[in-house]
Amino acid sequence: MAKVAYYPGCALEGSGGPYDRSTRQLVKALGLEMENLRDYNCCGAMEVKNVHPMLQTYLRPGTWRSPPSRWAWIP
Amino acid sequence: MAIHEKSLIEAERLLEHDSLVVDGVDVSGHWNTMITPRTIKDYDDDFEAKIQSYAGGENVHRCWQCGSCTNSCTMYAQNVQFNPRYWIYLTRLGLTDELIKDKDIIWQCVSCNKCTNICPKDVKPEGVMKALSHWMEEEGITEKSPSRIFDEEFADQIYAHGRIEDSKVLKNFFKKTGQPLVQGWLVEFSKRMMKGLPVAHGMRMGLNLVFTPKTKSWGKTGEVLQAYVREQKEAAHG
Repeated sequence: MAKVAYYPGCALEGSGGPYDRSTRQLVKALGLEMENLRDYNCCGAMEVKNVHPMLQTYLRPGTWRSPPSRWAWIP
Repeated sequence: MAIHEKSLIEAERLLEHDSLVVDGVDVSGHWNTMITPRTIKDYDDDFEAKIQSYAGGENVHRCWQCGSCTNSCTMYAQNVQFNPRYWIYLTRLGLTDELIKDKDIIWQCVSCNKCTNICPKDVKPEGVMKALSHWMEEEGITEKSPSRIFDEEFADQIYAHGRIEDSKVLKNFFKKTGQPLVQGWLVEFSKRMMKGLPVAHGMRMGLNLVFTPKTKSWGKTGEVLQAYVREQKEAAHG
């Protein structure tokens, strides 16, 4: 079974809950397995863009710095 | 002479008196309403380039004035004085005086990005709005806007920890803008939020208040990003 890394950030655990649920349904229907990234950082939402537009690009590598382990817990 | 569309003319440019003398000629009576001609003499030729040097304003030169941005604008629906197309036009001409007249509403852009999505020329009008309000702040024309203070507080927390803590962002924002920490809308918001909140989630929120959430492998990432932003800004406008 193919595995995909999942970055729930902050919104998908809170205000974006419905998106989280539909993503999980979709991944299940596609026969994929999903693992949360561990120790991810803030994506910056739309606020950092107003401080500097490149920040939203450079905040990304941080989220890929810590790939999920085999043992990552999926809620 | 009847002028039907007076609402389109700035009030201070309308001359309307029972007896009116203009340049020594008595024009009282039927001809009692005049419009002061608008003389524009201070084009800032470099203004477009200056706005392009701000983040978000890079594509302002592409605009062909279709008005899709204003048409799709969330703020325009609230206040017809909020007109991105017009401000982009003024920016391109370099009419800073006219722009400054709207200094108290330009910053109100809510970044819904409908204008940026709909723009056929990829002008990124939302970015232009931000560029204009940043320019006004740096020139000392306006005070730092509340929205700017919020964004900086948000970014500072990311620099420090790699993550943010919502209640801390809000608390520091209130402090920096001199607002009371307890406000009616916030109490109501919290009450409604608590109602349907899973217990585990509530506990985690409580823990976050005590232990600031951090990205473990964050290290010096924040410092590097902060230095980068500083350098970029210095390179762009000294």
